[in-house]
Amino acid sequence: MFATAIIVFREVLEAALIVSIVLAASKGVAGRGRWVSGGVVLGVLGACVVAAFAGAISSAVQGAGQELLNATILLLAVLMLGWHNVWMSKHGRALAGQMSAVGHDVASGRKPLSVLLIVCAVAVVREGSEVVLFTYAIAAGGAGAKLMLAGGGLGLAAGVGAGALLYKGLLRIPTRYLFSVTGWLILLLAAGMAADAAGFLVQAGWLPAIIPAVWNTSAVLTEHSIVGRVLHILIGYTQRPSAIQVMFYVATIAAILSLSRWVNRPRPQAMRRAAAEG
Amino acid sequence: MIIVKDVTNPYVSRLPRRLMRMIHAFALWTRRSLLAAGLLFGFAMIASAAPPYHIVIQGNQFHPAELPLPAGRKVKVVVKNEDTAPAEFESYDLNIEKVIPGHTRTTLYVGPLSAGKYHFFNDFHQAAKGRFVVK
Repeated sequence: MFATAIIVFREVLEAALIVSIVLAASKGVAGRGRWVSGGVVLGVLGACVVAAFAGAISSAVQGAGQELLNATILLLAVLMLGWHNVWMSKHGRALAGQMSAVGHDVASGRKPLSVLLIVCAVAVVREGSEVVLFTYAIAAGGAGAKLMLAGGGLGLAAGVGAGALLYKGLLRIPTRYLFSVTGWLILLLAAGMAADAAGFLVQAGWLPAIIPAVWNTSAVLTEHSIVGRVLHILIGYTQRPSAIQVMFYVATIAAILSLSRWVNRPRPQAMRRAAAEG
Repeated sequence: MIIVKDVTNPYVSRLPRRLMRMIHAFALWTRRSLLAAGLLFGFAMIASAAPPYHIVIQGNQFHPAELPLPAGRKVKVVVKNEDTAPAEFESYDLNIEKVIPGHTRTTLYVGPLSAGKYHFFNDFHQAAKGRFVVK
């Protein structure tokens, strides 16, 4: 029963941490609750569909269907998280300012809330489909299935609980700093996902690993441990990354940071005006 | 009407030339990376032409639990799940994570690896463990 609980917990934890970071990062945005929960519901439905067609997906594209699906899902999430960060770098300060003001009728109807929906949905689809398959494996096992399903429920509750804890913790951060903290969290989250996606593309044979293991820190911190697992989710810790994974990681950070800088660049008119004013 | 060209604004005069230079650089880069991708694809085809290695999952266990592989080359490993329950072939050492539904088979590409032991397990049934021994 506890073995089951731990397996389900690990899968749920990943989705729960991502959803809680997204929730904290969008604090004060009107209507975000609806979009985020919509994303989770869509994700659960999607997970069931993916699990139901696991066989077909697995054998698609010469047996690389699963890796390609995973890589696509992850890269979509990276794109959305990157977009969110670039948007926040432009509007975050105003948002934080409005929140500390009394009537925070957030003027961010322009904020692409669908981004939140997609990020949550994808996070849930990927991990959820494994939970569904695993639960199916238990149910098919017959003996002791009820006890093990109870374990699965326990794992689910614990994973959601951990996500809620992270969310509560993040909200204790003063509003002034909240968005820069969530900005960095999302940056690293996206970079880690990009590295994971690169791993799947290597596995599918679509990308070369270049160097199979740039370093090996399995002796220091193994991904089997809960700390290793959490760090893998949050900052993309990998005990034995390939060179292409490191490249994806660095490139994602560089791309998001430089895009954020670019949208905030001083405009020529503003520069000229500043020069004229001396 | 006299049209005065705003020569004091550097963005007006420099932008097109800079843009063209960027486009040229991008085109060159695209051509180079396409060539590189083509070469890599060729190598991948050569690698996949070698006969695959086989692992069978049966009774929640890997057979064989220890598979010797050659070092320094990319190999194809076919994992067949003969159980009804789905399995997830996972390896932290190799960054592999792949669901194998019951009564199906899947193909993994491993390496090129340096000599050593590379552990893997069934994430849905963690008592099932195995390793590649690369020599």
